[in-house]
Amino acid sequence: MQDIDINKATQPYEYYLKFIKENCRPDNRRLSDIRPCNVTVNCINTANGSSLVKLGSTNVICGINARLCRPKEDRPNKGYIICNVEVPALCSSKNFKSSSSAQSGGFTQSSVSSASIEQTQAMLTQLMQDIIAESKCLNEEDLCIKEGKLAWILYIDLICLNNDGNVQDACCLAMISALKNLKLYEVDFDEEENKPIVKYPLILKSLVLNNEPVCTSLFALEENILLTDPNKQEEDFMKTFVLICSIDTKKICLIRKLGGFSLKTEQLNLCINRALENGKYLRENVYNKF
Amino acid sequence: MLFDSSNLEAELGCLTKPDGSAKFTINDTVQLCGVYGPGEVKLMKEIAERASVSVVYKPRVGLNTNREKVFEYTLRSILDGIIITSLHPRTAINVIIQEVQNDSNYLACSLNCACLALLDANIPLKYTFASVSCALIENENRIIYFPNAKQEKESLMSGTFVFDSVDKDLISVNTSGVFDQDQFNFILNNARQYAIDKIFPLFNKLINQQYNKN
Repeated sequence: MQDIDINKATQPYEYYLKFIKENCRPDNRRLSDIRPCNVTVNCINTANGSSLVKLGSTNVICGINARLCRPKEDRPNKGYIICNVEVPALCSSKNFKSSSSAQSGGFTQSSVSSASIEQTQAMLTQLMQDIIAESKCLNEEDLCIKEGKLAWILYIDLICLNNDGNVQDACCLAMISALKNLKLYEVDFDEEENKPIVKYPLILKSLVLNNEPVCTSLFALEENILLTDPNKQEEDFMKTFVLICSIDTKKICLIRKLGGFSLKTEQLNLCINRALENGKYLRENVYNKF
Repeated sequence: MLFDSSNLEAELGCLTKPDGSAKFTINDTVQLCGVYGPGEVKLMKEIAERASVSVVYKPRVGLNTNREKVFEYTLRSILDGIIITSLHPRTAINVIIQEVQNDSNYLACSLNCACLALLDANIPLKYTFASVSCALIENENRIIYFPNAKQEKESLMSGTFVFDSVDKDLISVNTSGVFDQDQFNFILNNARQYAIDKIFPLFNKLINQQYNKN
């Protein structure tokens, strides 16, 4: 233990690899473990649905606001789902770099993890939108109240409060938890007056999700070393990055791999297996708890 | 130059100003790519031990949306891993991709185009890469390579795969649609075979032709 402590500040990567050789990580996890995960729902009273996710020390808060709108002519029987992810500068010191100096030297051989704030936000927003679209967990048709006249529009806002790596998994957890928590009141449409009627007292009903997507991030350090759920420091070390989104024990709705070094088919299958296991674990221990 | 599989077409050095350029056509999708560098770098972007790679994607109409930003980021992460950046410290390599015509497959098309443009610009690469996009049709267990927008929508799953030229391993992947592990492996192996059979030979043929001419 003595000599491990010596080079922690000056040689963080070598320090880290010493743990990996023993099949564990500095924060006492095995290679395939995720950090302790804690989800609180209904934490914002003014929102229609909300959740707060803590994945290790990565904190993401999600609020869903439902508004009524008139659907556009080209899609009269569909509602809208609009995601927005914010990763403000205050949530991590490493986040605070301008777009021009996005590529830092560091340890990363390939710039898998170096992105500016705007890029990170754009990526996460797109990812959340894609997860909903690809998994089909929410039918946009269900959000329609009266065809061509009235539909729900869901504004899903996610804010990262503390960024200790793997914001994408935490965002996905927060979004799905908040959607499960979402309660919409019943609205009728008055044909004659051409306006919505809200019944009082409000009759709240929750939305039924078709499935529960779980996002799992995996990354590789050296060849053949695959780890799950990177924290901020590990994100700096990683040489390639795989994101897998599972919707049940067998099915996958999204696989995304950025550049960096290439993976063999066996390694990719290992990633898929780990993602499916993680999905099962989170569904049992988080989604089914409320 | 027109290839045997008539839906793929490529041209090297079609622009005069950039250091390297290429045009790639897949069915109705056409992309144009220019590479500048290694050249002068802005002070802000300078990295002491390696070249800084930047990618700009220009859609045919309108401004960049989130989708294009994600695409730029993906492409940069791929190219940065492939270009031997340590050979040119304190320089910049700029890759600009212009969408000329878009009928899906734009990711695969841009990647192949970027690879050819980098070769044309004589930028040192670890290996070349080929990108294949394919869709799995549910009933017949059949794969369509480079599906058009309609086929992609009707398919069970579709994905874009990027393979390296040495071990033919997977550099990058992006899928859509719901599928299981077996289906993924099936489509992955077929895409790899297609890259080996079709795309890499095309690159070879094109480069051979280019250098025999000079």
